[in-house]
Amino acid sequence: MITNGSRVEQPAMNETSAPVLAVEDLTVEVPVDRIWRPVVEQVSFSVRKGETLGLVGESGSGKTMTSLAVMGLLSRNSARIAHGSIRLTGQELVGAGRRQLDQLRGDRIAMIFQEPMTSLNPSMKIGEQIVEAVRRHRPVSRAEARRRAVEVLDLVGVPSAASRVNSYPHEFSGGMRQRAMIAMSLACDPDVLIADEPTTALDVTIQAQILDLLRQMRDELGLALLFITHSMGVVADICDRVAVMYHGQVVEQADADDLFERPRHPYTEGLLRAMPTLVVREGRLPLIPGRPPQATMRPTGCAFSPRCPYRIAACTEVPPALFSTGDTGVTRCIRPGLPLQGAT
Amino acid sequence: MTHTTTTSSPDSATTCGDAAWERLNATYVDAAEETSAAPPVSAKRRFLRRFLRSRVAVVALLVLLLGAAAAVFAPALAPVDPLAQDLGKVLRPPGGENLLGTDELGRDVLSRLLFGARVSLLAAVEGTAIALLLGVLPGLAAGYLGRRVDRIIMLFTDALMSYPAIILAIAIIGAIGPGLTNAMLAVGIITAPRVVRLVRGVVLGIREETYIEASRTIGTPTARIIVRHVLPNALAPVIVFGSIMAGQAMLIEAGLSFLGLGVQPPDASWGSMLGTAFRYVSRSPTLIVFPGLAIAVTVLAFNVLGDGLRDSLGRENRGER
Amino acid sequence: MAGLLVNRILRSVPLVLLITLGVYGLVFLIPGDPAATLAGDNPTPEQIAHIRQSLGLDRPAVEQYLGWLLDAVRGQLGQSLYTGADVTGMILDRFGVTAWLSVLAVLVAVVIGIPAGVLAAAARGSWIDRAITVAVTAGIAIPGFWLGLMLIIVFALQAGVFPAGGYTPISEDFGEWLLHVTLPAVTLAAAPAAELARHTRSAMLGVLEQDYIRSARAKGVAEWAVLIRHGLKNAAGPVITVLSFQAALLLGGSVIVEQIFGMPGLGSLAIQAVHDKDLPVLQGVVLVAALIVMIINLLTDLAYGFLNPKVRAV
Repeated sequence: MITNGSRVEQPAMNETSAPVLAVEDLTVEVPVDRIWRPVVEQVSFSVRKGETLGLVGESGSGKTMTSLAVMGLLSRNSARIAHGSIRLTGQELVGAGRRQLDQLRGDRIAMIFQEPMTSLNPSMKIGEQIVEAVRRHRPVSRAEARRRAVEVLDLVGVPSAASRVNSYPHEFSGGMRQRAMIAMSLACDPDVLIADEPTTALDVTIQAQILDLLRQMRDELGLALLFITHSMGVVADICDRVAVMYHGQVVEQADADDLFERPRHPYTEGLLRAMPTLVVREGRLPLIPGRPPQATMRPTGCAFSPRCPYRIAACTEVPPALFSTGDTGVTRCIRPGLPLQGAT
Repeated sequence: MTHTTTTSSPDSATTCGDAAWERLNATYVDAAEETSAAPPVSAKRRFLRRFLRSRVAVVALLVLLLGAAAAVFAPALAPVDPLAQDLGKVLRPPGGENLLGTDELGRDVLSRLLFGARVSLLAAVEGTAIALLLGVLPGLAAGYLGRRVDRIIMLFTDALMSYPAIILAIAIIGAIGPGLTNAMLAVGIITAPRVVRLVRGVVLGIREETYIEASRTIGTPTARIIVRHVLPNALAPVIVFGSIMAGQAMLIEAGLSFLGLGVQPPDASWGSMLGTAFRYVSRSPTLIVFPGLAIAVTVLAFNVLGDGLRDSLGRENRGER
Repeated sequence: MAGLLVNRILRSVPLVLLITLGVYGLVFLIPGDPAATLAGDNPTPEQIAHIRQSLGLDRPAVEQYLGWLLDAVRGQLGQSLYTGADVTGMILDRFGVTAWLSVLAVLVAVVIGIPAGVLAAAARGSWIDRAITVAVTAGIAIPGFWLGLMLIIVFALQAGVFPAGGYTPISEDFGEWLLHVTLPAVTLAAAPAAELARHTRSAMLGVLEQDYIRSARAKGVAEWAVLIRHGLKNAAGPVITVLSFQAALLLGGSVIVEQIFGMPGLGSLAIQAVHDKDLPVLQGVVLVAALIVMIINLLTDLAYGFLNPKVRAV
């Protein structure tokens, strides 16, 4: 079975439309005892207009690090991009200066976060926070920016937006705050929206509403959506393509339907099995036994091999390369032909 | 944490994959038990290890011990009698026969500094001790008894804290008269409210802990609970505070003695040495350098020691990064 | 906002009463017969009797206190035992010196301390941070009066830029006033500036870790605006608390600084009163100082309400 997988260095790309965001061979390092060690390694993916890519993995798998690297939000002393390329509509972001990144952030590329309760500045009115984003990137008057704030708040379904712009975050519920965050991120009509676990901290019913909203915004505004989550249930709900991360690497990437039907990496199988229902559960994925290795300590061979039930001797010897599976998929497993079980 | 849910795997043993997962679960549980069996480190040892790791705090402690040794052995260390006047060589600059020079009465500055250490260090310790003596009990009462007792005690501490410290100290000395003991009494009175607040805060924090609740429900007398459970817990923050407080007490004493309200001649503390040096500042500027340095270094040592103690005594090591 | 103010003032009534009680109670701290002690060395019986009557020591304690309090409310703080002058007048004469000195010192402390703290937090771990931390540690440990003496040596005696002491009222000659008040203000500001920098740094470090700071960066806000608009504004609570506490301390510190620079302020008045055993003057100074601290605390509470939308709403 191994024979039908051929070695590739990068995931195959569909040429129908150029990707809005293309990450190639990205490696991010953090200092451990004064030595830089990789926590994100050779990660490649791309997102097209109107498409949702899910970046899935356990906490510590490097998915948030990856998203922060894309946003240029890694703090200078505690992380660095060692190599790789991040292109936003063709423009290279790796190595760009702070000023250049500031001009792109909030304008061409925006991000929303896990904790709507703490992601908004408590001492600034909601409207002011949106106005700030608008005026930073558009040469408009304060009144015009305010109108835009009301408009986007209305767009994301905040009721009576015209008066709610004057509210402070503490006067909003969790779900409303996440809507406000989304409004703020969409204020300048970005090409790419990164959503880092945007529903994890919310009640189940609110989660569904926010997912609906994001899907709607993606379709209406033609966003390229990079959706970061630990939940396969959420992935099933919103993603077109999925990149599964483990220990800083993408271990499998495929169209969502294919991945759910026929996972090619044992870790993906584990994630799918850990999915109790489509109801999102908070916290870690409960069912994969063992712990991920410490982010900065790489076992020889395949990083997942210590936890892998299909491990053979070869797995612990050489780190596996990416094997392409079918049209667009890749897996980082030397046994890509394993009869793994999908979600049913 | 994850292993508790592993047995609830829904459809078990239907495929080869399942069996493999189950086997792995078993090994994982074993591994978890192994790691949790690590021997517990005693609190005392953890404190010592953390404290010794922060080098500046250890240096600060050594500086203070050195200062204390200088104070204790001043009679042996001092080259000459600190009170011996020699009007033939007044206001000599440092160097030569008198290492740090002489003052306006021809007394040896080094000897006076060594003896001054006695007064200054003693004053710092005394002021802190008085503050603790005055503050701990009301703090315990306010925190533990709460309600009206708390409100009354806090009203008094608020009132005391409304007077600017040095002005209140001066007023107290104005009433009871100048002198080192009175000055230290004043220092104790003006710092006691901060002790009250500190102890009260600690007590409020631990009053609701389960073991205190448990002692109360089985009818342990209040005084006994306080002595057995509350006081030991309040000890760490009080020690930290005590160290920083001692530095502050020394600064206030120096200020009061500088103004002539503390130690009275011919005895001298570092503060009062500065007070006299001030009058000769245009003729012998070096005279004010050394007492000031002595105060600054000692106060610095008290502060750094306090910070080091706080970092090593803290439950979580947030400050270690 | 107005409600907050009224509420706060009403709640401080018992506190004010207790403070006045404390001020008046100073007389009971005097060992032995207060009148005899205050009369100085070898007093005549007439002198003692005069003091006793002048202070109302011949009446019951409660009556003494109430009488003194009523006078104080009407702005009458009695006569100096030493010169017989009106205490209120003496205090008013000297109030301006201390007030100007304190205000200027607070300004210097704010202008130096807060930016230093913000800078240290923003450049956490860098040499800038370390340099500021060292300066802060020194600033807290160095006795203010020693710093004052050193400044006199360097800038007055050696360089001759500033006068070594004395005072010119601001109304007479602004330039001269500024020259006379610069060294004292810097001396007085050193410790509060250090404390402000330290607390601003730690408050900023806490705030800069917050998610909303990341949100601000994610929308491309310039770094200075992240630090000020999103960082400092949310760190302002603890910073203002420290500022008010330091302002109160500074009022005490001015006593020593006035003495060093020979400035005729409230502090030197208090010290003179101690030497003269002039209790009414001492009481007057303490009372005024305590009331100023209370006003500072009141302003602090209002500032809290102004900065924190949650408090304001209540």
